[in-house]
Amino acid sequence: MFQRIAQMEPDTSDPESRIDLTAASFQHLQKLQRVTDAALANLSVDELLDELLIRIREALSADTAAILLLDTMKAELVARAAKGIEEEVEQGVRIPLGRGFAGTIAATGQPLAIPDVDDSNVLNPILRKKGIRSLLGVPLVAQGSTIGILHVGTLVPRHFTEEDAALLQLVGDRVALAIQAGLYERERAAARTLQRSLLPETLPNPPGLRVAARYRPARGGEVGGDWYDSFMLPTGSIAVAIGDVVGRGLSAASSMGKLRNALRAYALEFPSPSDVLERLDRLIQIFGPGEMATALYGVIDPVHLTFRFASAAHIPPVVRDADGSVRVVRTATVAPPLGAVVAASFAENIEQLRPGITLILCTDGLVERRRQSFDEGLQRLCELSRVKLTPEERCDHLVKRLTEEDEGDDDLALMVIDVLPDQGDRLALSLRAEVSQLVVLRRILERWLAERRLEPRVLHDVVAASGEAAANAIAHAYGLSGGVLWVTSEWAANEIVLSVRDFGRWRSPHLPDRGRGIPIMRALTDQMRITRSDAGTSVELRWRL
Amino acid sequence: MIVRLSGEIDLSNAGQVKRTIAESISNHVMELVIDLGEVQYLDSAGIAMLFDLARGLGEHEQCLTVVVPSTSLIRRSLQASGWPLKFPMVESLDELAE
Repeated sequence: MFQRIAQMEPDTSDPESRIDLTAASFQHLQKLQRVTDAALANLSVDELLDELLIRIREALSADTAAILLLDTMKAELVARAAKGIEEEVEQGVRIPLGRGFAGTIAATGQPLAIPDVDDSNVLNPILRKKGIRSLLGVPLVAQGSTIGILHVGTLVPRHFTEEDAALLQLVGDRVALAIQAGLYERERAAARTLQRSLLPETLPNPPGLRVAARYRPARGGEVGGDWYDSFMLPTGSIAVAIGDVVGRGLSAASSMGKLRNALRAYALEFPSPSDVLERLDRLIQIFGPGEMATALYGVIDPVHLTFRFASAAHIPPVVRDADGSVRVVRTATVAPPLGAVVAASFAENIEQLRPGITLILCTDGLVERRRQSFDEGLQRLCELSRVKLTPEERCDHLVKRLTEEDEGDDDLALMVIDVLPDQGDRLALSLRAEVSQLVVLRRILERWLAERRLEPRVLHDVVAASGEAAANAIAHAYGLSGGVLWVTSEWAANEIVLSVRDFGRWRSPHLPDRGRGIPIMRALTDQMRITRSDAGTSVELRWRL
Repeated sequence: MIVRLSGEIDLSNAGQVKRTIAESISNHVMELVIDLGEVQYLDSAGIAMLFDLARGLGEHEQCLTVVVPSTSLIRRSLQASGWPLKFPMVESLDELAE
């Protein structure tokens, strides 16, 4: 039979009524309060729970004390900590919600005492095996909902009083608070770790561009779904992306991670930004109902400096021209966010960039503020962008100035891309002697020659012959440890002189057929000279224009 | 069987291109035609790859022909490598029919 314990709350209609505690219990109460207040600051959650169980067992002269937490997904209680009955935790016993002693307390949210434990009222085999004769239990309540129960047991029959129950409930409240604080902190730490690991710490600095980015969590350190990304595509073009997944905390950060990774995969497969966003849109629909994100994805052609991009309801790009004037890149149409509309399409836009231009991409966390409209915020961003700064400096400057008066409730992401000035008539670069650098060299040379109005045949010859020289050096000059190549090129009115230099001791090609690079270089140039020494090899190529 | 390549082939991806082509050729293909009309860049590593394929096919009495339009920028590289002296090179797919 269950013995009902009277209500814990004092009857507020009667100012004289209160729960009478004996002097001894009151002392215990004070002790407990002292322990819990100090402990919250210094102990870990596990240490605290342990300490509380020891003290409540002592205060109530009980033999066992245990905390069970509710697994909401499975509607079961699982033992989290125990004293005198450690097997409960060790064996991972699970009690269904609503069944037995613990299950009933958790389901009703009311304390319960059992003066006579038997098979009919206690489900837990461990409690019965231990020889427990009486039990007293209270619900653990945090933020209005039951998260578990706390119970004490005795090996001799015991009639628990209202005082006992009041004491146990008080400890139960402290336990609930501690567990809630611990869970919250763990989740925040996990979300922060996830966010930091997903956002690239270093961004590529592709030839001709300088890229910097920032991510800042919301006030209080809670992460959200904002992200940025930048990477080189196999053709040498540079992909840039920025986005904002709806929501907060671990689930938003985790959706963000999936989108960011999927975007990289789609970007490799689809050259068109429209197609990439379309794929992302279809993907996010599978994540679940209500999952949405804004995003902007674009590709910068390093030779022609075009920026082709598509946007899913994202903040438009802001461009600072070389002369300091700043404008917002408005698009003809505005597409919906990802996940908002079935079978949405995302128009492609092209913006012509130029050397000296700065491209600014951000999320609304940077420009949306409580006391100003979105347009005002964007306007402020434009004004603040007029000053001449490096991308890193600009990131710091914009974040600081736009959040100093009002930190905002949202997380923010920002990416700044500078198009570097052209190299002029003399090109000089250093490349790692790796095959992946061959495409980079091609794009750099094509950019350098882009506005010089060469015949396509000559342009190809310069790029191809240089590529042969570089490929030769990469294959033969250094061993696994690698090395660098220096490429210098000079443009004059009547000729181009280009040299590829390495600092290795060459291995001669061991297969006779592999020496084709030299006949090809000879065929594509007007003059070719190879100078070999122990200090390295230099290949000089000339074209008369 | 006609294989159409496009884009850029250099030391970094020539191996992968060769593997992909080799894996798609069955024993019953008598003549493999590789259309290079849309290849913007082909270096000596890519050309060496073509030589390897041609020789390998030759051992199985299969033949490799490359198609390179007269306007193609990679034509002179192929000529300088000596390809036309050893293996067939035509300017268009139509020529094959003849």
